[in-house]
Amino acid sequence: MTKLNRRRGWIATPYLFLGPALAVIALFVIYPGATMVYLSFCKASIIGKVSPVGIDNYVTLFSSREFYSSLTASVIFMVIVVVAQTALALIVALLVQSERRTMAALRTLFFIPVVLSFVVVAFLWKFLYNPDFGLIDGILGGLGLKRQGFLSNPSQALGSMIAACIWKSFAFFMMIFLAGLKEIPTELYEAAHLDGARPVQRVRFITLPLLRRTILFVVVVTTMDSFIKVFTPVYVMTDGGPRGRTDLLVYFIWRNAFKLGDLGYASAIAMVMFVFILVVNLVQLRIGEAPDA
Amino acid sequence: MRNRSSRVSLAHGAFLALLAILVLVPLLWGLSLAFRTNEEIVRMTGVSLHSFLPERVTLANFERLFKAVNMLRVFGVTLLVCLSVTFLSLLVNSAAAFAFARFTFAGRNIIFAIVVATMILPIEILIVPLYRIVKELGFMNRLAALILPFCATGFGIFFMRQFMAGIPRDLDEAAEIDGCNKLVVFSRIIVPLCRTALVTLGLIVFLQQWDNFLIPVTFISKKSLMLLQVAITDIYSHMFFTDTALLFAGIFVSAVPVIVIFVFLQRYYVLGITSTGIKG
Repeated sequence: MTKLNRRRGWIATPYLFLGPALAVIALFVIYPGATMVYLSFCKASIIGKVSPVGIDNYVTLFSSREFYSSLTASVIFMVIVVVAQTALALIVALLVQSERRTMAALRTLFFIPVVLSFVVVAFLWKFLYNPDFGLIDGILGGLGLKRQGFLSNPSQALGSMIAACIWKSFAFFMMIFLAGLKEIPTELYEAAHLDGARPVQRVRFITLPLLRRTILFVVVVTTMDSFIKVFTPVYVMTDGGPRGRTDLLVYFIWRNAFKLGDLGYASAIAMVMFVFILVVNLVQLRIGEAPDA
Repeated sequence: MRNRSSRVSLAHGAFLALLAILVLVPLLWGLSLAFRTNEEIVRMTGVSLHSFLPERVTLANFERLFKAVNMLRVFGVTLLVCLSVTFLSLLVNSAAAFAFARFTFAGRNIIFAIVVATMILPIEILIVPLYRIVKELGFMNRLAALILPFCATGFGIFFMRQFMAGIPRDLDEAAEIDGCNKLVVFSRIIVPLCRTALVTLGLIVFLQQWDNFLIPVTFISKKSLMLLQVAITDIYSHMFFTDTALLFAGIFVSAVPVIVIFVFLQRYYVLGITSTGIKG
């Protein structure tokens, strides 16, 4: 009898521990995910009326110039951040990995922008780029160079925003690279040194191959982050302008949903965005895990 | 050979020095704005030592800030939300992780796979349907909208499970033989042993919430429930003229606590980052 009771308790217990988490995830991730698919095939205004319209939203989307320009901006943003930020993070990690005090101090300094909130960093850079009293134009003026528009110049706005985002985040990935570097046995470097390998060769033939999994991880995470976690800088720095040049997809979705009130259309954009990033990530993993990439 | 390596290290040093300047200079410049008057700020058109040191240090901006915005309430609400999410998510995620790490039950692997897979559905993508659900639940302009969606995450469960899987089972088996039930095993044995992981995850969650902007700006319009990050943008959007000094006083007040937290808990934070990196 007692044995049976214990057995019955045994069966129900794991679900009790799991219950709250599953309820939250079901209600706030899985149910919204399913709702998003449904909404994307509906006409749905923010006031609440929902009626199915088939693939109308997708037809509108794929024939909208605004969408393509937003997608282009997002892809440019992603590619530049993935390449430039990953390279910078790796180079800096290689240079600051020693245990010396100066290097520890530098690591902490580089990390400060990571802990600042995105709102704070976005405002800081918005004003650094300010054409009247911003520091950057001030420096250019001081050097006798022409003042630039930066965020107000359509051809510079996206690049200016990218610079600010890399400034904020590179040290986060530097830390991940540092952890990866610690895993590489020092004997390998010593052996290479005895064989007369120069520093560049050591990096090329020991560090990079052994760091492959870490690099892959950083590239996949950065791809996702630079594509998706960019709402705040657009909201604070440019509002999507000038001339839509910084209207990144996440902001495009939000604008269509909450400024223009078209939830169906916004859901369709989100669907396309989700599929796009999923495919990009899968391709990256496929390439990264191939035996001799 | 010697010459070459000293030239190389000189280049390294120069590169790092340049980067340190690029990180430090914007911070110092922004910091100085909080202590200047607006009249002084608009005169800063060139570069000089005064680009970084105010000509006359003033604290008036902070006085104006605390008059214009109820900073005490903003901080209070923000801390309430951040701490509630941190506490609840640690509890809910580690309970779920315990189930995955210490039980065999029907559907365990498939449920775990689904939970981990939800990591590819970030809030930015789900914001539209989430808005409808929050509205249906009557959570608009309620703190529940800021807290509940974050109480369980695929990442948190995965992270805690990985850590618990590394704890030897001997301890919980011994306790069970002594007649402890699973709740006692969880709360008295597993949770204390997970202290490092809990501090790490707690710090990650807290800073994420501190930084959270999309959710509060979308779901909360009531002034009395405004979170810190939204309050900063609110200072900016309600300016009749560009009151840069006031804005940067707000930025200063909001940024200092996180920097202080980071300096004290750096070890855990870095540990959290690196363990996610390796296990990814």
